Amino acid sequence: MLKIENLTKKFGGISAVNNCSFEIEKGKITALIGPNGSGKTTIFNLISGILKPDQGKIFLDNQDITDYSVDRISNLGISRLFQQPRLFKNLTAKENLILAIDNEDTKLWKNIFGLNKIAETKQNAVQGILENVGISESKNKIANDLSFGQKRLAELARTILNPHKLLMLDEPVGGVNPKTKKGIAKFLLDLKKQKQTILLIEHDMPFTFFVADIIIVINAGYIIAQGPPREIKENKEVLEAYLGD
Amino acid sequence: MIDAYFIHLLILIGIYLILAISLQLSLGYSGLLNLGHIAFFGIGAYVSAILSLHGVSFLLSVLIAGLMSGLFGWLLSIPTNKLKGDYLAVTTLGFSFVAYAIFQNWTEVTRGSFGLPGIPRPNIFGVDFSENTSFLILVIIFVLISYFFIRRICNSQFGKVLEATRDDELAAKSLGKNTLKLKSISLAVSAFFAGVAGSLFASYITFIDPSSFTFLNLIPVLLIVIIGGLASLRGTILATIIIILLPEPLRFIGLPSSILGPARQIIFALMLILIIYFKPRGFFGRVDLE
Amino acid sequence: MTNIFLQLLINGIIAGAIYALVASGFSLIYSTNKFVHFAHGGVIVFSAYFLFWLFAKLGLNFYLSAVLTILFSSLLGYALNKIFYKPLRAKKSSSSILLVASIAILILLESLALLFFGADVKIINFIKNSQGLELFGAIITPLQIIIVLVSALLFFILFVFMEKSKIGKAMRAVADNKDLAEISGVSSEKIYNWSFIIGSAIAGCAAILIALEQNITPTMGTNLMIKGFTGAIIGGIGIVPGAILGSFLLGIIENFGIWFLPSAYKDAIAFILLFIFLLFRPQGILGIKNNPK
Repeated sequence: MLKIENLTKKFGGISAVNNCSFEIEKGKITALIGPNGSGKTTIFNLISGILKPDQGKIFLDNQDITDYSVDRISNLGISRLFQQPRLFKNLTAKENLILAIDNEDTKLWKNIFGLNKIAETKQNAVQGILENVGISESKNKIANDLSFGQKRLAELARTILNPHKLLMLDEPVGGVNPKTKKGIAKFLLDLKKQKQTILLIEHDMPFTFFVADIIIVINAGYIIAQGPPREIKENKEVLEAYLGD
Repeated sequence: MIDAYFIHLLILIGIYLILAISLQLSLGYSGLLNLGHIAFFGIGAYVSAILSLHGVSFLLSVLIAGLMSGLFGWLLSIPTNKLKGDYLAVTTLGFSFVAYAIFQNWTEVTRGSFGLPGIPRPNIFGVDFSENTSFLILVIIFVLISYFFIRRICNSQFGKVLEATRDDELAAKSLGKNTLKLKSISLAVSAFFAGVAGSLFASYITFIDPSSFTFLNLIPVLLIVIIGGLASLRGTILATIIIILLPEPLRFIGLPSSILGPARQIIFALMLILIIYFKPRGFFGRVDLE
Repeated sequence: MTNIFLQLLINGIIAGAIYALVASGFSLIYSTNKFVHFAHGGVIVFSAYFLFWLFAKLGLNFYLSAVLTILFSSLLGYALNKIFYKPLRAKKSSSSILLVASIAILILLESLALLFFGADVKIINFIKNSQGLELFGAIITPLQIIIVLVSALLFFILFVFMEKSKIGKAMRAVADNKDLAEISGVSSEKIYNWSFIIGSAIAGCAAILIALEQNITPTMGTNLMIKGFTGAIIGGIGIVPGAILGSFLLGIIENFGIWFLPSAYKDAIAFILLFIFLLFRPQGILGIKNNPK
């Protein structure tokens, strides 16, 4: 579904991403792991269109999306959760989610003439997912006033409501308490059951090894290993570079 | 005597209200620190004045003036799209300097410092608005139309997506929103209404010159938007009334006009500084100034 | 035989020197504090009136008045920082907020000047408007020569100060990377204060020279600030030598510009250059591309 070929990105003199290539299989959860600063988020930024590569190409279902803009890539079906919280902080949780559903809201005249009432189907979809992640009582709270865990869940919900073929999640359980973490893990496995395709960055190893089908290991901008979790666990190079013991 | 003066104040409140809510759309809702907003006021005033002086009917002049301002708003949005915060502020400020320079120097059209006198009061379908009382009614109609139009935008989902762009443009883009288009529309609509306010201003005072369109003249408008509170339309109404009426008592103390002018500016400048420090959300603001 | 080219060049250099005086102090403050201190123009105009008050009203000796003016301007800049900017910074205000505040302060200062001194033009009669000297077909007055020489001297002193002195080096460290500088033991609050003191002192010098060359009006602060700001943007706003370079370029372009355009458009040239640079090369000629926030 998603293929990156020989992707390279330099900042100043430093190569953040070095000739990386991999393919994401549809319906599977793929995890990108590696030490801090190894290039994982940079790869995410290249795929989403926030950064442009110095070399290499990115294909979504065989369409070359390397030079596309961020919003165009999103509309082609890539939905991304950021590492840093990016909720619309002055809007409510519910308003945050409604915005994700479609782009009718960007049509000025339609909205002025009242032709964009929030249909019942939209309301239900939002309500459904809010309940699913367990924050529906806070739906009318201003996003800035939610707790960290609630914010993360709301943002995850928003990312999923955004119509997509591929979900890119950057540290979905970063900084959340164990209960929330369990909830998110279950949520991701539910998504997998629905045959959704997920690309994930995580530092929490037990979590990652539990949910992922394929693990790609990156160190200093190079991909040093790819494979199912049991293979990676035994890979010597990976163990040295990252997992410690 | 008092009545006439009171009507004059109401007319000013009306004109400034349109100007302020148009700035509220681009600043409060879209997060665009457009310090050049007064240029759109000026463009509207000059276009409408020139058209009226050449016999074009009032309503048509206002429409064209608004569209011209709106066009410049849209044009300004494109190169400034990637600019944020103070870079955007300073660039839009620069735009207002360029506009002022053109008002001042394109003397074949604007007559520069001599200004354009004798701008006719409206005559719409035979109804004459030379009397201030009737002009006030016209202003009220324009205020109502402008207010309800902008309110419609702000309360709709379009308004929500503008606010999303303001709160986190990258996140909005990641949800597939074309933020360049959104910001352009916001600036264009905002400029359009500023142009309409300018047309009313030109027709009311019947004389315009470049000195009404310097960035100094933006300060009360900016103050209104901040004091009323960002992203709050009713806050803007309240703040407009307060800011227009506030310097008026000075007139009654009998201060000479050479003191009145700077005194007014000092009050506004101090208020701006104080509100930024003590109550950056203003009365009804839903958003912090950033 | 008038050599128009040379005359325009000389006029450009003189104008550039004045803009550079404004821009260098401003740029010093910007590079350290990372926000646009528009009120710098207010410091200049207020200092010019202060000089007028001492020299023309109180009748003090000119050189004494000049020294006092420089002390006054440094103090004024320092006070503005302490009273207005420091509390806002403590509230984690963004640079946009500080910009809006600085515009308000500029208006406050100019309005106060207008209030105390009136709108009529003030003149400082110190250096007699004597006959200009002829130089290869161009005319330059002694005052203008003094302006260019004094500003060149000031820039040299500033350069030495920034390169060699402890405070100068600390300022450059804070400008480069505040957090790193703080870890190395530099107190950024102290450096902010120093940047305002020194930047405003230069503003004071600018005020003196400008007051001698031109007449004093309450709104000249805004005009000078726009020119100085434009010069700084052209050359590279965060880099003091860039601000100086850009200002001289601005002065020269302005003066050559009116060879082709009507002289009324002189100011418009600056505005248009400002606008174009902000849109297409906001980092200026010497600046490094740095995503504007």
